[in-house]
Amino acid sequence: MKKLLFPFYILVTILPMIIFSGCIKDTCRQSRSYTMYVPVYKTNEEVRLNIKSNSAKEMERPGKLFIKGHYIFLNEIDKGIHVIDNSNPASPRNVSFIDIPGNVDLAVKGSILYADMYTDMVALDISDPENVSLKKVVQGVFPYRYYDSGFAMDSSKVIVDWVTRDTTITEDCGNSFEFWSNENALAFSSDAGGSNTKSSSPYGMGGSMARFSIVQDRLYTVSDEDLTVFNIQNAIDPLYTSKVDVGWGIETIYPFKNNLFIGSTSGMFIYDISNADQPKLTGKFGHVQSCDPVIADDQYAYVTLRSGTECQGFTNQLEVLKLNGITDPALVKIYTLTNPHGLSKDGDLLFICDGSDGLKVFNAATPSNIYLIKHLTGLTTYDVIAWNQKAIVSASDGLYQYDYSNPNEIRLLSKINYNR
Amino acid sequence: MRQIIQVLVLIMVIPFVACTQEKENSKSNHFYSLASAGYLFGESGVFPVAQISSGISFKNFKLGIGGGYDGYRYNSFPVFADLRLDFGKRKKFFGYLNSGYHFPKGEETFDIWSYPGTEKWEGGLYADAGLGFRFKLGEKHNLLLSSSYNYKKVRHIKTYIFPCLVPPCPGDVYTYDYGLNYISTRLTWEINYLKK
Repeated sequence: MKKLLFPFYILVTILPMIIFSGCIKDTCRQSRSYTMYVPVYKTNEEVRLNIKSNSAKEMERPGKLFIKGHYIFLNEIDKGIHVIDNSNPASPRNVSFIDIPGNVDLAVKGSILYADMYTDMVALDISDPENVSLKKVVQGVFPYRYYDSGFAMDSSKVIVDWVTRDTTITEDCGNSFEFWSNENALAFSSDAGGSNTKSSSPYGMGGSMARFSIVQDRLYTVSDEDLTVFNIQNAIDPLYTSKVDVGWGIETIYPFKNNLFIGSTSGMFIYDISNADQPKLTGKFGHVQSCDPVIADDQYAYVTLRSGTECQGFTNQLEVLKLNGITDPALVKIYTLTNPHGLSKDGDLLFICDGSDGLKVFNAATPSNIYLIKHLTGLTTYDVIAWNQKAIVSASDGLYQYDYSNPNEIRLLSKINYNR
Repeated sequence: MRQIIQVLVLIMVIPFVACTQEKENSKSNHFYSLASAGYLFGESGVFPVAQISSGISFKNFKLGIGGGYDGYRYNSFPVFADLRLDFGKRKKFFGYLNSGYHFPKGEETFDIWSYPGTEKWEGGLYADAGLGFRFKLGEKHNLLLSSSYNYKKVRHIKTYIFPCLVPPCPGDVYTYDYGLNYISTRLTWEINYLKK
């Protein structure tokens, strides 16, 4: 009898497994927070009347920057341009704000600033940077901006702001969330990483992310797929001249002498602009799919490739290319980096914004033997302009200025905090 | 977290070591240690479990602390209070309740079409209530066979980062709150020691 007890106990213990394991269920509730963005419209007339020097605003979501004399023009994405008096780099002053809805990029020739305003381009007189005035609007020259998930803006008006409303919904797992965008508003997740700051406009659009570059009397702009040429011989009257198809995934444009270096997600293209109105493809260097800001000098091009975000690549590195008379660039060497973004070169010093790994300063006297001489950590860097012993660095939390007159002892001069 | 687990493991392992150094002629039990392994069954499938616990005995009651590994759906490491009641003439049967907190594995990154994302898990209530039989292996050693109902609460957070031209890029966050109900069957080695 005792011998039967052990199997009996085992059976009694295991029996509940067999009987109940099919009965008990796991429960799951899913939740998702999102922000609904409702556009605020103004008429074209109202918008144009407000394109002038208005009172300074706090920086919330800055984009590209341009230096003109002792002024810094800093784009506030989709809102306009901050004008910063940088006559004393140790104490820059945010002096005014130019309201340009839909603005992403800018360039300056003489006393005229060119900026995009959704599909239009505006020319502003900045001879007095603290008293800017609108000179011309060139309509419909940039690709129409499109948005996610069915939202379509009223093309007879201009979006100047977005009103936001935060909501969280919770329901059983397996059900799909019903909060997609419609024709009146855009829905975006509001939980994640730093994007949805107050009064920012939504992301997810494409098309008019123009990038500008001026070479002599021409303004070159790249959109996602094409290169557009404007004749700015008469600076206050920019004239649309031509458009060249340059492929897809175009990101950056960098002029050097008679060439334009165009960075795309799939490679670097070199266009000869001896005939200023008809850029001609003369060289290209393909690489794995990544984002790739480019700069160049007489003999070499420096290309940073990074993974993540829109770049869809897996590579984080600096590629140095020998230009070989422009037509046949060849790889000299690859240097591994963390997540490189913008870069700048001043003499033998190469500055690279390495994302969350800070700002790296290299000695690039010998392109095949570039070495790190200074690593500034503790900031997430996106773009840098190094000029005249001063480096202006756009980071996630502010605009930093460094004095690199002694590259081994780079000194922070000032920081303008972003209101994020 | 790792240090907490190390300390708990140490606390629970020391009695096993101490046990081997005891004298054989002791009379009554005051401390116990358990080491168990088994399987967990539920809607999500079959997963392994392994635990150890130690504590004090008082009449038919046992009270201690324990910890281990619970693999049901999400790997996690529970830390719990262990309450036991022996019954039957020769203490052949027992019931127990473990209640505490479990620590799931930390954070992972992933890529979907090269868009980066992160997954992380947050712990919560852990409970285990069961019944079983005791088989004597010697004066101090017993083999326990038990079956129990288990519950653990897990929060699973998935974040996808959208592509954008100017970082930091926006993301999308999905939060899943799980209440995991499952049954376990275990084989346990029990040691009673530090006799008077």
